[in-house]
Amino acid sequence: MAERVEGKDMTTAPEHLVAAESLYKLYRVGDTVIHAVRDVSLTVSSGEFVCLMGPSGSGKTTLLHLLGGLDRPTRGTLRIAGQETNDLTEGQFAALRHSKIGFIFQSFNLIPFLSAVENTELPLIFEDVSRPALRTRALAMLDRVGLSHRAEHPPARLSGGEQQRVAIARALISNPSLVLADEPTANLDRRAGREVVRQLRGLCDEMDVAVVVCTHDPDVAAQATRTLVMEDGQAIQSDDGPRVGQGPA
Amino acid sequence: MMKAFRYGLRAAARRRRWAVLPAATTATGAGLLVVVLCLLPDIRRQSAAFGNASDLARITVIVSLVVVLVGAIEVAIGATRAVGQRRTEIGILSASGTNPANVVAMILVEPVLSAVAGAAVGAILAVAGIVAGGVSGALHPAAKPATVAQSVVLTVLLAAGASLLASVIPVVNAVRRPPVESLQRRH
Repeated sequence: MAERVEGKDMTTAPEHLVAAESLYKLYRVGDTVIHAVRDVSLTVSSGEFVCLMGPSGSGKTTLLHLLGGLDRPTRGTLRIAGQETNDLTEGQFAALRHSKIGFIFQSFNLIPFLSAVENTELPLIFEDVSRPALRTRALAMLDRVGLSHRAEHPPARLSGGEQQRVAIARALISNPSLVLADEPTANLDRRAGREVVRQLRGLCDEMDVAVVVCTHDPDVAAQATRTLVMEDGQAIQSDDGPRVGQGPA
Repeated sequence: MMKAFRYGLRAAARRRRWAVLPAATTATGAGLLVVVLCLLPDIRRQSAAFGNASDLARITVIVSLVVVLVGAIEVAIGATRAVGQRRTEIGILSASGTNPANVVAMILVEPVLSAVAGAAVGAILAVAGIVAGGVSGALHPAAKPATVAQSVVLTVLLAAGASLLASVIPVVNAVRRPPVESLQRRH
């Protein structure tokens, strides 16, 4: 067993928005067991901008999905906003996601038949919020990403950068504590990517939202308050090493 | 649930071109069913003259059921297609922690609405055809207006029920799928 380095007892640290300890995610393909994530420990506090870097297949997207409850760890513990998630049902985890987590995806994932403002409203359309109030909130969110003038435009009439900014507005409309972004600049040219990251960072600072972002993009990493480098499912390096645990499965 | 229904209606209106084929197939089936139901008394009366009324009545009922079955299969295919096209939407809503019942309801609106609209159009056209046939002397319909109205209502209700039954499994399966899968399979 490799040396395990832990700076804090994360399971009891109330100040951490996310506290993951010894997360493992194994997939079985025939007789082969694939260690997508192994023994990764990580804490994220409010307002942090944490960057997960590493080559394709290193497990960073899987780790992001585990942190967001889109997938469940094979082993390990995960607390979000002080809540232990291991025993949550899918419905309970969905409720936690709904109140605490926003997602941004590489391919924007906007709905083609909805306008920019309708896409922004999407996470809250079934909430107990009146339609005019929701529209006002969505327009304000679009204004914050500089797209109020494009509110009625469908995604097909927006550039890639604009679509990703709509996705940022959608991720933030429910006032989450945590935003998880999977390669948010991978489908954008460098200039648009920089603008997207600048806005994401600025908004999350303003709203005191923690961000965990998977990326290959050095421009994104340059914005990070902390970077975690992954390889073969393990966290091999962090710019604040004491929070990273590593060891074989 | 009303919000899910309203959103489903809006989505169905925006995606109406995808509803044309299932609606047209349902309209054809519904039209045939209304024709069969409205002309059944005449078929029985005329076939009685040949001494095989029960056989012909049975055959017409079987043909009607086959038509309904074909309509239901088309609706199921349409629902599966709609689920495939709306996978991103399902994934985003699931990732956002939306109540699955709301997602199921809003997706179901489209196939049920297209089936009901198709059945209504098909039934009305069938009644118009029977009336026109009666006026021109090509047909001699003996069905009373109440029977015609009952046939139309029964056909539309049958289409709504069949579309709901045919659509609910693919839609529920899609909503049960992990959000990651719904979002990843797109690219």
